[in-house]
Amino acid sequence: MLSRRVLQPISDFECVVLRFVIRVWPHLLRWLGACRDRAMKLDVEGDTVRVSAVRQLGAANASAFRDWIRDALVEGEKNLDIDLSQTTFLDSCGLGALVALNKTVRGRAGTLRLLHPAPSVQQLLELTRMDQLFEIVKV
Amino acid sequence: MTGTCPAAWHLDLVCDLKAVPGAAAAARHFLLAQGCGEPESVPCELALVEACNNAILHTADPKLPIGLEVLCSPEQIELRITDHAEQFEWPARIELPDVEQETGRGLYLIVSVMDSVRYSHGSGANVLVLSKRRTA
Repeated sequence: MLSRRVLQPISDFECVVLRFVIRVWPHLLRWLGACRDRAMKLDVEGDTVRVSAVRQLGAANASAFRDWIRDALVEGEKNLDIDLSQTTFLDSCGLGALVALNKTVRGRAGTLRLLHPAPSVQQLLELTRMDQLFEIVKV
Repeated sequence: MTGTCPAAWHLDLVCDLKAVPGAAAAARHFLLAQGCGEPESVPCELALVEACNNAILHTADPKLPIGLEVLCSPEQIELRITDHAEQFEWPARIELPDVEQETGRGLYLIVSVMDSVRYSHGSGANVLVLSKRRTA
């Protein structure tokens, strides 16, 4: 039955649906990307806040990322661990957000650690001497 | 670029920072398809991201797209970014800012990962040309 269905030409309705999908696909991908950004996780362990599932940190979301974490910190939480193991994209604006967050935790007498950056992200951190500012925990 | 005709990739990028990562990733995939390795394609992707961010942030007309072009020959990779900034001047000297500074690293990253940088002002549009020699 499947092979018979494949050989038949698509109907006009199917053609309309296909055209609609092709037209909205780029917008759908952007929406999924936005949802994926919002899927970043934030967990608390004692006085340490851990952020994970950070896939992209760039000009488009760096300010929101910074403000989201700042707003999430409550009294008593002073350390910040940011898991970069899933980060495939980091630019200078993302670095700026990390620098800003470092100032925030230092104001609380805490520390910011960057966890398990991918090799390309590690290279970027070293190129910009961010490894002198942050504690980086490698795999 | 001299020698054989290079392979070319072109994209008109909308003035939206959210569109930059996808466009840069597409450029990197183009370079990988031309036989470039990660040591060549990843720095080019980073330079393209920083250049696009700059072009979008300084554009005089957000309705005009940013022109992206990637040319790849066996000897060299060339990135061309056409922007519509009016007030942006390429600094004569680019240094890495203090580690505590939150901004100012973009241009440094571009000149650090690319072999040559050239910014030309035109009538209504400017072109940033970034080149990187290919390794054997």
